[in-house]
Amino acid sequence: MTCKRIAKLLSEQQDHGLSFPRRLAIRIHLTLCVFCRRLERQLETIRNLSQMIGGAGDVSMIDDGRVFDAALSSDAKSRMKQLLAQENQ
Amino acid sequence: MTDYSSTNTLDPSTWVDAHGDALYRFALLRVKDAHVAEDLVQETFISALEGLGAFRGGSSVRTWLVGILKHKIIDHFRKNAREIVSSDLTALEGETEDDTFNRWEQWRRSPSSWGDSPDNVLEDKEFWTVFVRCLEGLPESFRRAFALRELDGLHTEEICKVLGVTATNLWVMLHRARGKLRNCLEDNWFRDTPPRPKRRSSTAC
Repeated sequence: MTCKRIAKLLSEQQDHGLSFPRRLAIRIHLTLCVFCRRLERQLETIRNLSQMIGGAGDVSMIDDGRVFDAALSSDAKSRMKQLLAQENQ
Repeated sequence: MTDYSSTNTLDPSTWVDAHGDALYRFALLRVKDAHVAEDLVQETFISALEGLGAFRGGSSVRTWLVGILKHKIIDHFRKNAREIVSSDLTALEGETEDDTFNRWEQWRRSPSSWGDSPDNVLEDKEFWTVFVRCLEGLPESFRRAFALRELDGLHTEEICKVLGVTATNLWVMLHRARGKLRNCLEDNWFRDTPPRPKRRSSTAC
């Protein structure tokens, strides 16, 4: 199997189960190919990093704005406060 | 300034200061357009107010609000998903192959070693700026698919329903999203020359 084909399977393996022959083909290819081995680890890294910043159920990494500091403008904030006050009456 | 960071009150007048920025960041990571993100946060507050009576206090106010926001984002993704997806997939077919592989389907842009663990980037604000910019650079439907799959950890079946695509199409979209993100991270962070003084130097292999 070519590297391009293996790359596609390595991605798909993160989304659905692969058949035994395909898993075997990947394993054999990976023992021989340092680049595809690196790709496999990079994909894992991307997944881990995404979960960290996405929270995958929580907002942990971006909660306090330490690593991603986008914030609402003060205009937007006062508009929302006004709206909430109106609706709350 | 009052510190609201640990606020867990059901008084809606405290919500904007206590949770507004965190909700905004949560939305902005997923929808890219700042105005849309703002609107979604606003809608979240209004829905929360309407559903206040139903809140049982089993979770924190923040978690409750994030849950509402998640639904708003998914509803937003559902809107004109079909058009966006089909235009991105058509563009993909017409796209001349990128330079990741050569014509023998071997690596041209061979992956570099990113190191054992990404621990050294976790606290690095600069890295996350690059990461977010790379995410934003993905075609709209690929970004939606990636966000639902990797940021939110949804199952592919659910994502297919939201985006109105077949499983096979979704796998292709995710494969392309990961590939583009990988190239972008490698170009803008992991394979920088000269090496950043902050980071451990990586040994070429």
